[in-house]
This record gives sequence, C-alpha cells and structure tokens, in this order.
Amino acid sequence: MTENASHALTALTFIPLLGALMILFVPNAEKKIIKTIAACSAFFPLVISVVMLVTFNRNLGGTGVADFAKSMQFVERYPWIEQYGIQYYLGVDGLSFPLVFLSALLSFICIIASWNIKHGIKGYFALFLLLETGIMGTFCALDFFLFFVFWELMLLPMYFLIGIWGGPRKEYAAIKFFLYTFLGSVLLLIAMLMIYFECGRTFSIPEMARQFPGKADWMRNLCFIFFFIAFAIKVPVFPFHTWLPDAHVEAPTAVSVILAGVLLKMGTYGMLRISYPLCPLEAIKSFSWVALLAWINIIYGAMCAMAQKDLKKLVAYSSISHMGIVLLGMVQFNDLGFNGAGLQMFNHGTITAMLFLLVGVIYDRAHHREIEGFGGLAAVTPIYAGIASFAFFAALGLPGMSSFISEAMVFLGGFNALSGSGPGGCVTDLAGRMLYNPGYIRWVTVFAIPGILVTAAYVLWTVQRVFLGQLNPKYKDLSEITQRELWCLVPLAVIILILGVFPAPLLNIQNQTFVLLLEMVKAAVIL
Amino acid sequence: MHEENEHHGTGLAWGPHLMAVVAVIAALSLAVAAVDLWQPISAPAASVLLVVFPLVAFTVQMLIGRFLPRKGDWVSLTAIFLSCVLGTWIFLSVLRGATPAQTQVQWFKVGGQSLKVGVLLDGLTACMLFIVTFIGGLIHLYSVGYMHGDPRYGRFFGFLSLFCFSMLGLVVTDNLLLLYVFWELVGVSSYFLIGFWFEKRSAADACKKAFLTNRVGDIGFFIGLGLLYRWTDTLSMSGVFEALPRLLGDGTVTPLMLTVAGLLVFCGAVGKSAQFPLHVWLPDAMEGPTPVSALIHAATMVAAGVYMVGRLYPIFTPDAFLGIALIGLITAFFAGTIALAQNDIKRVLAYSTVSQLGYMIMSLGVGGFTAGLFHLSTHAFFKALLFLCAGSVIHAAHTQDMREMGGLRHKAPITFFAMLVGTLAICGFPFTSGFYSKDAILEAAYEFGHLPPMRDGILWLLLQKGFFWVALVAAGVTAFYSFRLIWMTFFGEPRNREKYDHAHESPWTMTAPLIVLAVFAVSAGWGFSAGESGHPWASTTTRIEAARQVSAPSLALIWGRWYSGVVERPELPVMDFYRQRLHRSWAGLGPAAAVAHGAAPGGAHQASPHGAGKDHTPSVLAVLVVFAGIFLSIPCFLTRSVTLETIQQAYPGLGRLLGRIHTILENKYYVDELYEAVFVKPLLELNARLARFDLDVIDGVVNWVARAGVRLTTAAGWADLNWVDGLVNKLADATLSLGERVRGLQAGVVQGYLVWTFWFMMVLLFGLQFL
Repeated sequence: MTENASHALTALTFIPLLGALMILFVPNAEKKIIKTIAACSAFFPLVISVVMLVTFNRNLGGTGVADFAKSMQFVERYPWIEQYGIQYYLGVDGLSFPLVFLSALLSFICIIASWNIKHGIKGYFALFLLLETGIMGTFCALDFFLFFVFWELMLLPMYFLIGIWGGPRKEYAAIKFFLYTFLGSVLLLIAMLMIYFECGRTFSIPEMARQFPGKADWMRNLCFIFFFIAFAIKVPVFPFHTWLPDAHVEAPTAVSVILAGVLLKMGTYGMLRISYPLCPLEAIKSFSWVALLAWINIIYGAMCAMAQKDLKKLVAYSSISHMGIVLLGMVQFNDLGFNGAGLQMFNHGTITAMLFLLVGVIYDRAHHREIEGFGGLAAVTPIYAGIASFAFFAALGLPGMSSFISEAMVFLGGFNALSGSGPGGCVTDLAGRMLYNPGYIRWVTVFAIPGILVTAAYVLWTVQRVFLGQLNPKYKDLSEITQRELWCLVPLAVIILILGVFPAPLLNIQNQTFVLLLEMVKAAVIL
Repeated sequence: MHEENEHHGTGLAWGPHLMAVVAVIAALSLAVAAVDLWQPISAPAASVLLVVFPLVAFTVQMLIGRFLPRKGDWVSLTAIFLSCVLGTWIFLSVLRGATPAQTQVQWFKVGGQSLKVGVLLDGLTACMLFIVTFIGGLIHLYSVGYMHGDPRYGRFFGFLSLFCFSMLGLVVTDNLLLLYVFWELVGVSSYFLIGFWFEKRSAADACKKAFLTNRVGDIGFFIGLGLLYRWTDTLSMSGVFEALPRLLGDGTVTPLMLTVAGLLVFCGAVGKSAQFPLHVWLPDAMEGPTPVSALIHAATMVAAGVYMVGRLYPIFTPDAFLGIALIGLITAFFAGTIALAQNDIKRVLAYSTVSQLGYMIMSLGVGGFTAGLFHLSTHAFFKALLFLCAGSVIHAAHTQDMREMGGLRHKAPITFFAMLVGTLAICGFPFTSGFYSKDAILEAAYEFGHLPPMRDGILWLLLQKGFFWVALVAAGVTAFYSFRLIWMTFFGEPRNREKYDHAHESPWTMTAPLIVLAVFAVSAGWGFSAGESGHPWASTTTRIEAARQVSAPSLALIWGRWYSGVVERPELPVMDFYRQRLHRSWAGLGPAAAVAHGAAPGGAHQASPHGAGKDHTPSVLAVLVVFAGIFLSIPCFLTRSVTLETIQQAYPGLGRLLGRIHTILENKYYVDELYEAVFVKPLLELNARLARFDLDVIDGVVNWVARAGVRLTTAAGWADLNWVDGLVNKLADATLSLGERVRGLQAGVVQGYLVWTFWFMMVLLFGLQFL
C-alpha cells in the first residue's frame, strides 16, 4: 500500500478528539446529547478498525531492518515541523494493529458502560474521548516525537478521570499515577533526544532502527535502560507496580477497563516497537534480569492477588501476573514467545476488561467490593454468575479461552528460546562472552509454570467466596445484570471464545511482523 | 416418557424394566446398522462429529435451555445417543479390520511452523469411544430419573454434555497440546458437576479442591510436554514417538532426561486418575450428584490418566515405568485399606475407584499394557454400575450412610441384584469381567517379578517381586470391603426403620441402565486374552496374529474378545534402545537373541521368561485370595459375630491395635490434614506476607520517596521564600526604602534638582574615566 493512500489512521485517531470538542459546546444539562456524541465518536473508530481488519495485509513482513518501514500499512507521512525533522508519520503493523482494534473496541464499550455516570458528564466524556485520541495516536505513531506527544496526551485525561471521578482516595491515586508515569516520560524524552541527535536529527522510528544499533555501546546501554524503566512503569514491572492497585481501586469502572485493558499494553508495546529495534543487542543481553522480573511478576503478582480482600485489587494484581507472561514471551526471542506475547497482550486486554466491568456491576449494586462480604450469589443472579465465571475461567487460562493459547505459547516457547553456537546453546559474541542463555530461560519458565496453579487458586477461591456456598441473606434481592451491562460483556466473551478455539485470525495478523522483528533483533548477534 | 416413569416407578415390575432395556438396545442397534449400511461419512469425520454433538447440546442448553420443553434434557440425550451410534459404528469398523486412521488439519501457524492437530483412530481410541458414549448414554438416561425435580435440572444436562464433549475430544486427539486442552476441559466440567449443588459448602470446597489438585499434576504434565516439544520440535504424538529413539541414539536426549520427562507427563495422570499423593480430591468429589460420580469419577474421566499413559506408552523409559508402577501399587493398596473403614456408601466406592485406578496404572507400569487398559474398560462397566446402584440406594433410602441402611434387598430387588453383580465383578469373582482383567494384571505383575532384575541388589529384586504380592493382597482387601458394603446395605436388619419404610425401587429410567450395565459387568471379560507375545520389556514386537481372529462382530457379548483383538500395544523403540544399550542383563531377551536361539521373531513363546506353557500360579492365587476376602467379610459384617468389640473383649491387645488402625483408616491416614498444614496454610500465610511486603516495603519506598520529595520541595520552597525570594524581597525592600529616602529629593524645588543633577554628572564622568 502506498503512503498516504488511506487516511484511516488519522480518522481513527482524531474522530474522538473531534467528538470531545463537540461535547465542549453542548450545555452540561443536555446529558443525552453528550452521551450520544460520545458514543458516536467512539463508534466510528471501531467501524474503521473493523474495516481495516478486513483489508489488513497479513503477508507484509520482511527479513531485516530495511523492511521495517515497508512492513507498515495504512501509512500516512507528512512533514510537520520541518526544521527539526519532525513528521506526522502514522502506520500500523501486526504489532500495533491488534492493539488499535482492542482500543477502539474497549473505548466504545467503556462509553456504553459509563452510561449512568452521575456527575460531571460533560467533562467525563470529553476527557474520555481525549484519552482515546491519545491511545490511538500512541499506537499508530511511527515518528518518535509524535509518539511522545500522544504518550503525554494520554496522561492528562487519565489524571483527571481518576482524580475527579474516582473513589475515596482518588487524589492520592491520581497523583501517584501521574508522577510515576511522568518519571517514565522524562526518561523517555531524554533517551529520545539522545537518539535524535545521534541519528542525524530524525525522529522516524524505522530510520532510527536502521542507524542506532550501530552507534556507541554506552549510549545504547543508557537508552535501553531509560526505555526499560519508562516502559516498565507502564506494564507495570515489579518493583514499579504499586501505582497500579491504587489507581485501579480508585478509578471508575470504565477507566479501570481502559487502564488495564489498553494502557498497560503501552509498556510492552513500547518495548517491542522502540527498545527492541533500536537497542537489539541490549535487549538480548538484558535477558537475565528481564526474565527474572517477568518471573517475579507472574508469581508475586498471583500470590499478592490471592491475599487481597478487595475484589478490584485482586483483579489489579492479576493483571500484574498476566503481564509478566507477556514479558516472559518477549525475552525468548523466538517465534512462539513473541507471538505468544503479542497474543497475550490482546487477550489480557479483553479478559481483564471483562473482569473490571463485572466488578463494576457488583459494586454498583452492593456498594462495596469486599470478597468476603458476598457469598452464594449464583443462586440469585445466575446470569451474572455465569458470565463472571466465564471471565474468571478465562483469566485462569482455561483451554478453549483465548488466554490459554497465549500462555501455552509463551510457556512452550520458553523451552525453546533463542539458541546460538556457544556451550549449552548460548549465544556468544566474537570474544566468546555469553550474551544469551536459553537454558536460563528454560529454568525461569519451569519455575513460572506453577503460576498457573496459584492463578487457579485465587480465581476459584474468589468464585467460591462470591458466588458459591450459602447465599448471604443481605443480597437475596440483588438485581440481575441489566441488558446494557450484559451487552458490554458479550462481545468480549465472544472474542475470548473465538480466539480460544481459532487463534489463527489474530496470529496471522501479527505473525509476519514478529518474524521481521525477530530478524531485526537477531541481526545484532551472530548465532 | 414422563408419565410412564411415574407409572412404573412404584411397584416392582421386571417386565417394563426389561422392555425398556430391549427398546434402548434395539434403537441403538438399528441406528448403528443404518449408519453401517449407508456409510454416509468416513470414520475420522464421524469421530469429529461425535465429539461435536455434545458440544452443540451444551451450547443449546446454556443459551436457550431454560425455554425448551422439559428444560431441554432431550437435547443432551439426543446428542449422546447420536454420538453413541457413531462411536459404536467406529468401533465396529475398527473391529472389522479398518486400519488406524489419522487426519490432520492446521490449527495455527507461528513463524514458519504450523501446529497440526487431528484425530487418531486406532483400536484403543475406538474402544474408549464406545465406552464413553455407551456408558455416557446410559447415565444420561439414568439422570432423567435421578435429577428429576432439581431446580437446575436443565443445566445439569448441559454440563453433562460439556463433559462428554471434552472426554471424547481427549480420546480422539492425536496431539499432545490438544490432549492437554481436553484434559483441562474434562477437569472444568468435573468442577461444575462436583459443585452442582454449590449451596452446600462441602460441595463448593470439593469442586475447588478437585480442580486445584488436578492442576498440581497438570503443572508437571505441561513441563513434561514442554521438554518433549523442545527435543522433538513437534507436539504430534506420532512425531514425538518417531523422534525419541533417534534422539536417544545420537545422545541429544539422555536416558535420565527422558525418564524425568516421562515422569513429569505422568504427573498429569497422577492428578486426573487420583493416584497417591494427589488422590485426595476424588473422595471429596462425591459431593456431586451420583450420576456424575458414576460417569466422571468412576468410569471415564478418572480413567483418562490411565488412557494417557497407555496412549503415550512409547515415551516411557524402564525407570519411568518403574516409578509409574510403584505409584500405582501404592495407590491400589493404600486406597483399598482406607475403603475398609468408610461408612459413606459413595466414599467406599470412591476409594475403591482410586484403588482400582492404582491397579491399572501399576499394570501399565509393569508392562501389562492390554491388561491395564482392559481393566479400564471392565472397571468402567462395573464401577459405573456400582455407582448407579449406590445412587439408586440413596434415592430409595434417602441417606448415604451405610450405618442407616440394611435389609434393602427386599425393597429394591433390581438394584440389589445389579449391585451384587457389580460387586462380584470388582472382586474378580471367576467368570465375571473383573476376573479376567484383574487376572491379566496380576499375571503381568507376576511376569514382571520374574524378569531379570533391572538393577543389582536385593532391594531391587524384592521390589520387582513385590508388585505381584502386594497387588494380590490388595485384591483380597477389595473383596473384603466390597462385600462389607453389600452386607451392610442390603442384608441384616434395617438399622433405620423409618428410612427403611420409605425406601422404594427406582423408576425405569434408572433401573434400565442398571440392567444393561449388569450384563456388561458379567460378560465384558469373556474371551479376553492379553494377546501379547511375552512381556513387553523383553520383546517389543507387538502381538501375535492369533488374537486378531475376531472378524465379524457377533451378537454375543464378547467384549473381552473384541478388545483383545483390537487394542494392540504400540511399538516401543525406547524400550528396545534400553534393552540393547543399558540393561545388559536384558540384552539376551531381545528379538536378536530370539533369532539366535532359533525361535521365530514375534513367536508366542520367544520371550516368555520361563519357557513355554502358561504359569497358572497368579490366577489360582488370585481366586483363592478373593474367596478368602469374601469369606472373611461374612462373620465381620453379615453375621456380625466378629466385630471390633468382640475382638477387644477376647484379645484386648489386638483389639487396641485394630482400633488404632481403624482410626487411622477412618481418617484416611490424615493426608488431608497433612496437606492443609504443609501446603495450604503456609501458602496463604506467604501470600499475606507478600501482600504486606508489597504494601509496606515496596509501596512504602514509593511513598517515602514521594514524602522525601515533598520535604525536599518544602525545604526548597522555604529556601526560596527565605533566601531566594528573601533576596528579592530584600532588594525590593531596599529599593522601597531607598525610594522612601530618595523621595525627599523630589520636593519640587528646582534648585535641589539642579544640585543632584550636578553631582550625578560628576559621578558619571568620574566613572567613565575608568572605561
């Protein structure tokens, strides 16, 4: 596809912004109009992304960094601030497109799920749409500067959405979220500028990927560390994760959904889009502690989740655990690991979105989230219990649900990580120093697999405490899930089921991109 | 159907019950004949279809089940009936000599590699398909009566269909990953069905326990799978089987690694087939409705572990087999002894299931491939029968405690006869099905004991010999507790008069399956012969052709004969490798040696460790032990002349000892308590600690940094205010006061201005000189 042939990505990115602006001109009292505008401006991007899904070229890949720019689709490229070499450069590939689609879908669902927001409707929906623009832009941008602008743009509405519409400790949570992410942004900015000046004043990511791997070691090391911290905060990787439970617990339901469903993926997306192509050697060399952090995320996240008493906090910690699996896939440097990581990003988005929506449903009725405070709800609200069990079993990685495939791919891939010609399959440099050790990854994987047991334990224990057993008499009149709430969940459930049985539609989209990425990274070492 | 059920349910009428049996069998036979005649689809396609039918039923049930007449039970019944028709047809076509069929499709592609999945139809699969669909169908029918009036009646059938789908998928798949998929899916259907009456806390606990215990095993299974994948780069079973001997040969995989991988995979079976030490979930699973116990926790799902070991037979090394056999033996004995002291009728059966599963696993471990898997099939018939009878008893007596029963044979005669048949079968009473399968197992163990020792040392020798003797004792224990159940339930004086008076025989939907299963429980073993040429460890050439002499299916119920004609042990190249390279004492047993001795390779006697002629010792001993068990149970539980009390009076010392043993057995060796103390509590404790660590330490650091930041900024603010801003302010103040003072100058007196101007000019000029 030639450049600028389609303006789908611009439309996708800026329609929500347009909607946000329109909302600003509607008086606050016109609640229906505001909601309708919001719903429409989230719906159009969804339609566009579905059309893109159909026309997406599944065979666009490549064998080296020279093909990086060519592997992008729906590319739009215009000069923006020419004297600094800044471009308006958008494009998607198999890595970003699934996330674009996920964002469009979740944004629309979230708008519907926020239908009965009580106060500050105008501000809420305007900010929400602004957030969507930021998200879409981040996933589509191929110019680092543009990426950074959108990255920062997300921060602002998120801060206000938590800080104004949040729970009792909203200020604390909002500021914590903001400062944490901002710290990441600063590091990102420094690294970006370093690379910018080093690579002949270009912000184009494919161009940077062509030049930067050949630059000085110390600089790549430094940039990789900065990138890693910046993105690790988003994922979040232990020990930068503590903003997440607070933000989730305080955020309104829809914001939690976006936060966990999409924003966390920004971290792993950033690593795969920027750190890996720009600092491939460092990405490989850092395997030992990244894998260790992935393991900590998986096990520690799951164990902390099990100890939680607040349902939403439990789901938040489960996100930490599940994002660890993405990280574990990413350090394997093989097809299975990369594809598994990509798939897990998408799957976690759908599953955790369902879980947060479900927590919201019960919170709207019971006005608390204490796990021990429920009991036997399956008897009064069978449909709710049914769909909640579905979501929980999906989180548990039950075969037939999408997360099983991605987890299985990552865990299987862990046994077959990148191997070179050194002793024990290690990848070494010319001096014989070890760069990458697949045996280490294998052991980490073996020790990460018990995570599925802990996950099963907290999921089933939660299901038991909330839905099974004697009915808590307090809730004998609990109302069943409404149609609106149900239809927010059903599309996600359908996707989870379809991808659980036929993962091929999504894998086909991302496969070639990951093949290319793997080639790009592997080019940094001699195998 | 419904009215009929009410009508015949009350009185004792053999006629309608038998007619129902005939009708069910006739309908099935006709349908099978029709499929056979027209052959609308190929066997692999049929196998896919028969897996899909129950899935469709499950989906329909979940989505619109509530709105259907009779809550949609007929959807599930139809689905399982159709599956049963196809399953039977596939079985028949395999029986007629259809070659094993395998078809594959690409599931998904990653990188340049595609994952292909498909179905594998061989004798073992065909037999399993028949067992699952046939027993499954009977239990669906039984459930119509048993679950009648339950508020979630429709949902029950939905879950039953989900289970059938998963189990059938597990049986037909040819891929390790897909095996794992269905493995977990049967687990989750079991979860839903155990927790079907989730209002009961015990049921909610039990389903969680079942799932988690299974997951413990599955972790091992998955790691084993990962290792196999790593070595062979494939997940297809046949691909793995082909690659392993080559990899062993070129040293990529060491024997130790393969043993470890095999045992890890076996962990999955330990969980699913409730082997020691993961057996704890199965007895608790009896919280589920009885048809579920019969189908899932006796006949089919729990046998999946045995099936899996059989399916993956070629990957195991001799050491792995030894481990498998040991686990099986321990389980068989251990669970059998626990069954001696249980009073809940379903728990007795549950422990007996665990024990029998141990038998099967042990049999596979000592090389009795066909024997173990055949015991799986006969056990499926008689244990399903026993559970359904127990259900019928519970239905009649409204209690599960055997101490409240007694004398029920008068009230529920069909149930009584059926249960007696089942019990005889499980004991291995001559000419019942259990006799043939158990006998084959004991023979295999006996033969194993007579193989050259796997390792030097007296302990190894004792171990190898010990399998047979311990298994023999376990057989006696089985007979003893089984008849204890019969005596306590159906004989003697009714112990709870009120419950006895209200007891009644069950409706035909419940008794018809009993009758059919009773027939199978007796006859399923007839004509069975292990069919293998000697012990597999000694020779891996698979089987003698004579066993294939069954051609056309005859009307006689000769399941055993069919079975031995159809299920054949796979080639075991890994064992060949071992025999040639590692166990030097076995080297003489291989085909090569046999040729050297002039015997034809594959000949029937070539590998028999002690020459020609069948050794009848194990059979004779087995029968003796079974009779001993039954006779011993008579004074203890029927005539009650020997009880714990009478022993205590006569021999206080022995009585005390027995009492103590009884307490231990009654408490199941305190395994649950041990796990609670060693695993569950510490895990929860650790979780809580980690959560506190997260909150206090990690988040504490974050908050500390934030506070430090705030302090720092406050300090900076103060400095700003007092120093920086102070300076500014001082300057401002100074300017101001200067202004104040200077203001005096601007007094409007022109002379004054002139004076000041003059002085400034002077200073300026003076200053300019320096520039």
